[in-house]
Amino acid sequence: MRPISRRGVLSGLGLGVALGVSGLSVSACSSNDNALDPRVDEAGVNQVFVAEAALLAGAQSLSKAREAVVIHQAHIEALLAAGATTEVVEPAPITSLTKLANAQRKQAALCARVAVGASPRIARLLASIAASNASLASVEVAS
Amino acid sequence: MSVLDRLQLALAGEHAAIYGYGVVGGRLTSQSGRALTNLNAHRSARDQLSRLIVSKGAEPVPADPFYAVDISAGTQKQLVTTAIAIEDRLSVLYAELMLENDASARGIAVEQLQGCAVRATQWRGRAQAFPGLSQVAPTN
Repeated sequence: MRPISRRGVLSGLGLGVALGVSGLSVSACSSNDNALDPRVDEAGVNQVFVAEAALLAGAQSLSKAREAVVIHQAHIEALLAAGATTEVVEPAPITSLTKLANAQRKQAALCARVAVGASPRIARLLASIAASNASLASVEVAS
Repeated sequence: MSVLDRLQLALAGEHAAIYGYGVVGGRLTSQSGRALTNLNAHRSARDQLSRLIVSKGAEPVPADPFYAVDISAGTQKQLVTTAIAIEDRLSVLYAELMLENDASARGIAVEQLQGCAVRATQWRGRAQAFPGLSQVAPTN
């Protein structure tokens, strides 16, 4: 599989500014955060980042998932600001809104699981991303 | 602020949400079923928070007898806007509860934050990127 650089994932970003979240993504997970165990945060954030990149790629391949594209891009921007360092591998394609919703539901569960053991501000960010993915899943299912 | 303080704040928020949905749900003509479902979800969250607070040796804050709910315009749109505001405000409280290093409190917070965000999305018709965070960003 072809590796995608972080810069590649980031291309086309800047929508976080339009959403008014760029300041948030930095401030919500600043470097002076008192992590319980930085390795836990790093591993968790990277795990969520990889899954989020796959969701972004999947949403981009579906014409009816424009809202999801914008939101997943904002999540990725926030995760990078939180210290995500993993290089992602080209994800498997997502071929329908139902499959996208299932993947978003799984991402919500992953974020929730990681959030419970993370340092405070990372925990808050991941809980919010979990909630956002759960919301997106409910929208995709309804559409 | 201690974890108990934040749990009590969330509980107070759930009391207000239950009252608010009572007011809104009784006036909605086409979506009263959704309001009732959401009301029951908030009752469940209230009970969950109360049990955790008791387990930590404290007494859960009681509900106020009255809450100000702005329904002056009396339109269906205003009622939906009020329902969204209920969920958004609670989302902030649950997001802040995540700042506490307490697994049981975080377990409730992460679950209820998702619930609030999904319900707000159902009312709003679209999802948000960072439920519970936008209103606290400037101070952090």
